[in-house]
Amino acid sequence: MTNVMFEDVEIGGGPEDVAQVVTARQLVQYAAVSQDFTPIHYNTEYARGAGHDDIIIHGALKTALLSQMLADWTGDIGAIKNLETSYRGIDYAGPVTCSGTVTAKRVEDSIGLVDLDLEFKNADGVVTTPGKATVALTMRGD
Amino acid sequence: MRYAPATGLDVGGLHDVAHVSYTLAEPTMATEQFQFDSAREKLGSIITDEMRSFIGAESPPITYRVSHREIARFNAAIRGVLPPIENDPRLKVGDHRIEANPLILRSFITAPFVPPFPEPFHDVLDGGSRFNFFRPIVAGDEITVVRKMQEVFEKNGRFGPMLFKVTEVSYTGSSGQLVATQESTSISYGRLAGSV
Repeated sequence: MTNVMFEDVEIGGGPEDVAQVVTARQLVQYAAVSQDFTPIHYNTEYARGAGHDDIIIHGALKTALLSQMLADWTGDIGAIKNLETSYRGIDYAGPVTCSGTVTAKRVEDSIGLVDLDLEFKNADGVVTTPGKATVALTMRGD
Repeated sequence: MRYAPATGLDVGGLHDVAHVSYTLAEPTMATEQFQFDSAREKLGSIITDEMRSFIGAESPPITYRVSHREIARFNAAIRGVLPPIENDPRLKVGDHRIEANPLILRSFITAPFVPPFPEPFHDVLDGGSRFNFFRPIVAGDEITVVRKMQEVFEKNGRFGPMLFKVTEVSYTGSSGQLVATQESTSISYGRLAGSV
């Protein structure tokens, strides 16, 4: 967790990329907490029968992984104000990368707001889930 | 209404369609429009008056209490680590400031509409969501969830007709203060409901 300050953020900057491996166990854990027990997320045979190469990552888990990247970047006293994602491709369990790029920053009602473009990429580097977010960051003197 | 072109991803046009729901302003391909019109002429609209009557309808409210354990289990799933067991320090029982990943809201399932929405298809895709968060979610919160139907529309693609439903979920705290909203698009398609 970084507790990045509003004044230190530059257009084109943003959080460090987060590369991780989404495992079958993680998908089962997410199914349990989200109550999304669609078999294509944990049953390989079922997923293949539905035309997929392997079990696929829940869309909402992809959004949650992007939100966790933002939460780790903004720190304890920052906050995610809004978050939007669009699921354009399927991601299989395995290596993925979350990234975010600052596109704008402004102060509204004495709150430092930062807009970001988000990307969720598969192992080939293809963006399967683009998104946008606005976060509130701590300002010096707060 | 204009229809954005399919992009031909090999994962299937279904996920193109998920994207289309957010890009209705993109240029229309004449061939795509022609194929849609031809299919629609044969099939007719899949949207019924009964479906339209759901616009503005709200699901019955459900209230969830956010526990330390639930937050810890959700955070473990996002981190890809093992969930907590009894006496795990991550549970921090008594510390009411433990904050949840805001996407924990997706775990708070809304009730079905009453009467149920007349879903025509068996298969469903998640097209995407837009969340607005107005304050953090912490252990001890009581969150009431209600889903409101905003829009239904249809499209036709390589997998046949598809029904899009746009809904907004409100998440309200015990004081009546709005905690968050989620606008989401779900897409149903494929096998007829009741055929599987």
